Amino acid sequence: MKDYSIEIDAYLNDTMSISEKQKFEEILLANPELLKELKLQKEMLVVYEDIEWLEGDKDVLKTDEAKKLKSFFESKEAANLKSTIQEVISENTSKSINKPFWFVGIAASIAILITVSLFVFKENSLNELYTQYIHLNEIPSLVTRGKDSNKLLENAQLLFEDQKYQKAVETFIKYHRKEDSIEPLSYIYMGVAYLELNEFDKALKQFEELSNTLQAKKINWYKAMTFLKQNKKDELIAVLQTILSDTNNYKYKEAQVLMQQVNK
Amino acid sequence: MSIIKENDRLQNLAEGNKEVVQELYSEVFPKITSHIKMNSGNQSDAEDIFQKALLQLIARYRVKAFVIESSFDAYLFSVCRNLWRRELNKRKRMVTNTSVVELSREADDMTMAVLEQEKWELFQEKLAQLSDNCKQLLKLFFEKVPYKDIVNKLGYNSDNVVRQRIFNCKSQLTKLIKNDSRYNQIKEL
Repeated sequence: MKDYSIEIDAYLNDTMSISEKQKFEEILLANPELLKELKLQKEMLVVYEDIEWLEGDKDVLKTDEAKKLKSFFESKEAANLKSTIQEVISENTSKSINKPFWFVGIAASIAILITVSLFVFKENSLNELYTQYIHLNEIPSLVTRGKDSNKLLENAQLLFEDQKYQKAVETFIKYHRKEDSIEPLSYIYMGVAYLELNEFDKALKQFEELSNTLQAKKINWYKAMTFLKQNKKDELIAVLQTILSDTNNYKYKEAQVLMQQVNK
Repeated sequence: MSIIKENDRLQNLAEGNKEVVQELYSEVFPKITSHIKMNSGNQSDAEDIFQKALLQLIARYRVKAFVIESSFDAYLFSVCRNLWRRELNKRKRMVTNTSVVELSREADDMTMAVLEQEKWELFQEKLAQLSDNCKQLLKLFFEKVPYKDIVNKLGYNSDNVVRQRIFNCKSQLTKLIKNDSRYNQIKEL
């Protein structure tokens, strides 16, 4: 292979003219080895400049090492280690309560949020409590689970995450029309998207779709969220009571605290 | 502390020994906090990073037992520093930041962080193998110091000499990286 070091330097330092650049890019496209070389040189610039962090290509997640690492991070053992570390940190910083924890289970962080909200939101309207409880990002991802994830679903989730709820809803509708077997989590996403758009009846309808799916246990909690946002106190209390009828119910603890707040 | 002892510490840490965690907290956490606070972070960022760093070390130790060549404290600090840079990079890209992240994505992210750290270490290790003169020249080069300033600073005769010298050093470095099996593992996917 011809040595292109000078061209690579010029390209990375952006000292080529437009026509030189175009010409070099054509050569690059036809020459995968050269492209790799360019990539390495670019990585070296980032790493050794020592300012920015070099983010890797997600493709490496397919390597054996990556798979082993990932399964460790997902293991029960890693979760235990996290809590050990967290314990040490908490013991050393006894007083503060409102710091975000990356790794403590969702339940723990909610417990903390609740402590904080109990404290701060005494006079809250129900609608404001909704913001405290909905936790949009705790809905499991639709994308990373399946091996071949559905493009429509993926787009819908991205729109949802970008808070483009109207567009997200439209994409979920397309997905529901197109597919025979539906990912139940999509009903939660779609329902919450409707909640954010204040379309409560449509939201409830989505949550009802969860019955007979693996997510059925979550219906009541999301109904509660709907009534909370809608400021419908009686309906809210009724549904919270249903959740509180069994300690094994989804979000039992949260429901308990929420009930106290509502009854204040 | 000797390398053997440092690796005992790593092993104990990997077993979830609370005393080791406390030791590391006392020794390294204050430094991490002040570094992060000086670089647009706060106390809870420091706690997140400390926790992630320890978990990263444990994961690496578990997956393929590795040896810390320098002092554990210094090493842990450099991992934290890198994780913080990584976090800042990510925050630049994403507007919203969430404190509760879904487990699977979190695991992907932690995994990426390990692999990126390993690449970073590989690059540093190769740079360290060059002659002092090369290291010095390349350091200035990568910091984007103009050639004529390097000429003045290091007392060379001309731009061209410096240019040629840097070119050679960089080729050596590139070759060292490319010839390392770890780099090829990363590359061949």
